[in-house]
Amino acid sequence: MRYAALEVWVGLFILFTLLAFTALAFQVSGLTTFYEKDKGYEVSAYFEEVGGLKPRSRVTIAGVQVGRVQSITLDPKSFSAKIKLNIFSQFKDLIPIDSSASIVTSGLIGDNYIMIDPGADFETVQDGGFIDETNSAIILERLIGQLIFNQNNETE
Amino acid sequence: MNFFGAIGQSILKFLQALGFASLFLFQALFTKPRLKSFHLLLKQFYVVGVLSLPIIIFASFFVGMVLALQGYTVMVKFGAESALGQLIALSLVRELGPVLGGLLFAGRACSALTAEIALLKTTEQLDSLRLLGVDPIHRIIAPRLWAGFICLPMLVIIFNAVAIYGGYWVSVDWLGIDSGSFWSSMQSSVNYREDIINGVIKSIVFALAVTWIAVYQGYVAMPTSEGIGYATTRTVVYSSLVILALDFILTAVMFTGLK
Amino acid sequence: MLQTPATEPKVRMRGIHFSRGDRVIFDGVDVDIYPGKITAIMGPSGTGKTTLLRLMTGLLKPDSGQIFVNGENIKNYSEAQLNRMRRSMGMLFQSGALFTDMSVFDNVAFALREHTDLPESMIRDLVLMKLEAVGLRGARDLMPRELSGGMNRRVALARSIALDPDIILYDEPFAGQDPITMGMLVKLIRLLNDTLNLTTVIVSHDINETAEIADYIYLLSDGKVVAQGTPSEMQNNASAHAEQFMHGKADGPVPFHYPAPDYYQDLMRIGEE
Repeated sequence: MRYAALEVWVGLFILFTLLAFTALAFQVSGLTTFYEKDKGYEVSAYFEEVGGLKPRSRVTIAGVQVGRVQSITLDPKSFSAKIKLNIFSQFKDLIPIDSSASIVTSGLIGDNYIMIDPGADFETVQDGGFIDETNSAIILERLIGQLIFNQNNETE
Repeated sequence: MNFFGAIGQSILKFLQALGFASLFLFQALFTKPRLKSFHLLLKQFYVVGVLSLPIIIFASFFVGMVLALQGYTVMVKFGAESALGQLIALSLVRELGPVLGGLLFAGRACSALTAEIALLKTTEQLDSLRLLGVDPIHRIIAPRLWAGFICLPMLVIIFNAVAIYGGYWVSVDWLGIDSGSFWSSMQSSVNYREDIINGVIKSIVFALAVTWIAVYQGYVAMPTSEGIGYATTRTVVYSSLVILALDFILTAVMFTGLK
Repeated sequence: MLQTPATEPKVRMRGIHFSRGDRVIFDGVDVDIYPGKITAIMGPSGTGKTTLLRLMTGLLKPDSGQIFVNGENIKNYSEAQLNRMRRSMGMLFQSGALFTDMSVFDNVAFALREHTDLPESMIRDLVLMKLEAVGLRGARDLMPRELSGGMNRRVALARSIALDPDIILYDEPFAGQDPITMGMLVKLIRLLNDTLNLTTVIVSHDINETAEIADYIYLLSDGKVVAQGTPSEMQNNASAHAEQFMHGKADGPVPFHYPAPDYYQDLMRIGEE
C-alpha cells in the first residue's frame, strides 16, 4: 500500500467517525439543549407528589418546551417536594405570577413533564421566584382506589 | 487427590498467564513513541480500522433495519409505534452498538491481529527484529494495541449512526412512521451524557480488553501451524466472552444506577 | 588442538546447562569461538544446535553457566545492552526470516535506517553493495514471496551484514539446498569471513560442505561436546561419536532404534495380558 493513499483512507475514516459522532450528538440526543443548561433563570415550585418526574424533564407552556427541571428536593418543614425549574432565557419575563404548574403524563404510559398554565397577572415570575399554584402528579393506584371507594359508596 | 491438584495447577497457570500478560501490556503501552514510528501506527489504523469498515457498516445497517421491523410489530399493538425512534436509538447506543460492534471487531480484526503476530513469531521475524537491535514490542505490538484501542470506539460510533439511519429508513419510508415524531421521541429520551457517552465508554473498555487479548495470544502462540490456528480461535472465543461479561458489569453500573 | 592460545576467544561459553521443560538440552557445554575463524557446531538433529546460537545472542538465558562475548559476561545484560551487542552480530536464520511485508531493498536497508542517521542516498549505496556481494543486486525490488528459498537466504545474508558486524552466525545454511546454491553459499561464507575479517559460527549437519570451509568443529550429542578439532582431526578421530557422524553411519553411539522392549516378546505378545 503506497504510503500516501494509506493516509487518505485513514483520514477519511476519522472524518467519517466525526460525522457519525456529530449526528449522534445532535440529531439523536438533541444536544442543542446542552448549552441552555447554563443560560436561563430559576423558578421554584412546591408539589405534594412528583410522581415519575425526573431532573431534565421538560417544562412546557401550551405544549412548547420553555425549560427543564433542574432539581427535585424534599423540603423538611412542609414535607413537600421543592422543584427547581430552569426556564430558558429567551422566555424571560413571560410567566405571570398567578400561573399554575401541573405534573402531567404524556400519553397513558409516557414520561412525566411539567405543564404551566399561564395566568392573567401583569407581574411576571423572576429569577429565584416561585409559582404558587401547583397540581401534583396523579398516582394511578390512588385514582383507582378512589374509584373503587366511590363505587362502594354508591352501591351502599 | 489428582483432581484437586489439576485444578490448583490450572489456577496457578492462569495467574501466571495473567501476570505475564499484564507486564506485557504495560511494556507495550509505555514504550516511548518515536516520530519515526508514527507511520507504523498509521498503517495499523488502516489495517485494523479502515478494513473493518465494510463489515461494520454492512452489519449495522441491517441491524438498524431489523430493529425497526421487530420493534414496530410489537409496539403497534400498544399504539406506541411513534416511539420507535426512541426504541431504536436507545437499544443501539446503550447496548447493541458497543456489544455487536465489539463482537464483529473481535471476529474480524482481533483474529487477524493474533494470526499475524503468531505468524511473525513462527517465521522467526520477531527474533530477526531482536537480532537487528529492534524491540518487537515497540515496533509490532504497540502500534497494533493503540490502533485497536482507538479504532473500536470509532467503529462503534459509526455503527450506531449507520444503524439509526437504517432504522429511520425502514420506519419512515417503509412503515410509514412520521419523520418528526421519530426524531423527537428519540431526542427527548436519548441523553447525551448518560446514553451516548456511556455507550462510548463501554466501547473503550471493550477495545482495551479485546485488543489486549488478541495481541497477547499472538505473542505467546506456539510457533507451529496448529499453534497459530489455536491462538486465533482462542482470541475470538475469549474476546467474545469478555465483551459479554464486561457488558453485564458496565450495564449494571451505568444504567441501573440512573437517577 | 590447533587453536592459538594467544588470541582471546570472541565468544566463550562455559558450563552451559539448559533445559526446556523436562528435556535437558545442554548438560555442561564448553565452546570457544576464535576471531577470524569459521567455527562449526555440528551434531545429529535435535541436539539443540540452534538453541546454542540463541544462547550466544542472548535470545535465551542458560539455566547455569557463563557466556562471554568480546570478553564481557552477558549474563546480566539488560535488553538495551543486548541490543547494542547484537548490532555487532549478524544472524542468518534457517528460513531466512525476511520481513515479508517489505521488499528486498527495504529488508537490507532496515538495520541501516533504524540505527543510523545516514541519508537515503548513502543507504542506497550501501544496500546495493551488500546485495552485490551476494549476487542479488538486480532483485532489489522483489518481495520475499517472489524469491526462491536460496535467494531468500542470500538476501537474509545481505541483511545480516548490513551493519558490518564482526560476528556472523549461520543456522543450518545448507539445509535443503540444491547443489548449485550450496556451492554459492559455501563460497560466500568463506569469502565474507576472509575479506571482512569476520568471526563465523556455522550450525549445520552437512558434513561435506561444512568440512570444506570450517577451521574448527565442535560435535554435540546428548547435551555435551563429544568431540572437537579441525576437520582433518575429526576425520581421523577414533571416538565412536566422531566416527559415526563424520562418516554418516546409521548406527553407533546415536542408536538407530528408539528404546523399545524385546522384539521377539513384543511380536509374540509375551507379557501382554
